[in-house]
Amino acid sequence: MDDSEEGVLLIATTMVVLTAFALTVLAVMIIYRKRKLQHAQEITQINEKFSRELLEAQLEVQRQTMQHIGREIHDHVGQQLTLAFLYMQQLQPDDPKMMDRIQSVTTIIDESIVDLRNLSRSLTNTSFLDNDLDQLIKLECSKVHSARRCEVNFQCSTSPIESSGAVKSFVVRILQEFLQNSLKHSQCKAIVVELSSDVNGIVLSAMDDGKGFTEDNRQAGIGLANMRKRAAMIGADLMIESSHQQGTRLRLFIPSQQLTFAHATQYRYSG
Amino acid sequence: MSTLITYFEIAAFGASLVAWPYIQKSKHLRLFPLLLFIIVSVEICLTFFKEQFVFYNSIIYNVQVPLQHLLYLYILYLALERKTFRKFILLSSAIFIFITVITSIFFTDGNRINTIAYCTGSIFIIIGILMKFHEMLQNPTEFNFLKNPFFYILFAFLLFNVGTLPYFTMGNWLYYSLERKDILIVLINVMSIFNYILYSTYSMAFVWMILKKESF
Repeated sequence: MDDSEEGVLLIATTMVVLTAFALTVLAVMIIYRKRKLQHAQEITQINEKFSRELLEAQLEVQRQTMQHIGREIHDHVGQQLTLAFLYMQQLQPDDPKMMDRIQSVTTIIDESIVDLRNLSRSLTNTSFLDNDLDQLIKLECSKVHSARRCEVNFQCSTSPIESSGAVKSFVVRILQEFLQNSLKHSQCKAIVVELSSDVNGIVLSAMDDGKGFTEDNRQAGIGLANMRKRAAMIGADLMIESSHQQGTRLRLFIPSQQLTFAHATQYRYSG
Repeated sequence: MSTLITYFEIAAFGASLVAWPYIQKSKHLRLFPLLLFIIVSVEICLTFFKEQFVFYNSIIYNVQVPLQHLLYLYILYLALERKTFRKFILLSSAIFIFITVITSIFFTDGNRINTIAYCTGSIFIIIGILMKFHEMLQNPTEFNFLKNPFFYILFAFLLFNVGTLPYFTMGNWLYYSLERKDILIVLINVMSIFNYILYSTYSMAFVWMILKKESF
């Protein structure tokens, strides 16, 4: 092999090596991108899992705190008031005026005991979440309807839906917020609530015929933000639409796979 | 075989003109028609009017290639986002101009190719492309470079530059001193393939932009 041939061979070899380098760059970029995407996906999954666990912990703490307060009211304050009530009944003053006053105080204490018992029961008894979602929604609608400030019509076109306590609790809270906002701000006469489902998930729709709101006249508050936050926490899509004098519409879509969210650690509210 | 390159270049230039409505808003992509115009003009002169320009062949390339490299560096400067990288391109351009002027005046014979300037420009462009690739890799979740025509334009140019760098570096020796012209023909054919890949990729990238019908 002469010098010319060796020179050309060197050039050709270098060209091949450098071409291989360029192709390696491409391969490395593709592999690196794939790994980075995988890593990002893993982080998202970890974050989601963490958020759910945090939510479960928050709900559990909230439940226990409420039950503790409820028991304290029932066992401690309730007992003391009962004792006070009994002592008051035993009083036999000579003065009839004093007797009337004692009677009034006794009545107040008696009413307070009843109120406290109701409060205690509502705090400790969270077994309402043992009901199906459609029943819970129906209950909420009935409560507002019975207040006679507005006609609430609930339409359900689905069979009982199996869902976790967290989902039930959050859906009911979102609906409560919507109903409260409609009653407080929209001057509506009627609210229509619909619950439907298909293989993809369930849809809760609510619509009032009130004055609606725009971004300009929307009252500052945390209600809407809370609704969105709650929806995001259970992996639901929340859409709220409103325009001036056109009422307000809510659409909450919960994908099927999110319905049994936290199902494994479903709360035993009744126990 | 190398005559065909001109047609590939004309096709790429034509595609860039058709894609103009979609690339005109992009600071860097809109310079491609100009770049390809410079390349196509020179190649048309040297392919179809060979006799008139044969004596000025090296001189024309010694002007066109540095100009082309400067334009590529400017495209990279506009495409890069990180300030450090942009500063590097600015500094590279300044060094490249300085080296080109000095080597053209003192170290290049009138009828030879200025290989030092070519090599310097190519190396700076290769580094610039690698820096742009680095940027493209930063947010793979938000930006998928595999679906971006500009990535393929850059990759084709990287492939062309690294593949042909040794050939052009030894250009003077190959064209003027090598006695075995039969071996040279093999290298010219390889170099032609790199050219076909480069300009085909350019054409396809611009056609892609036209088909996508969205501004880049």
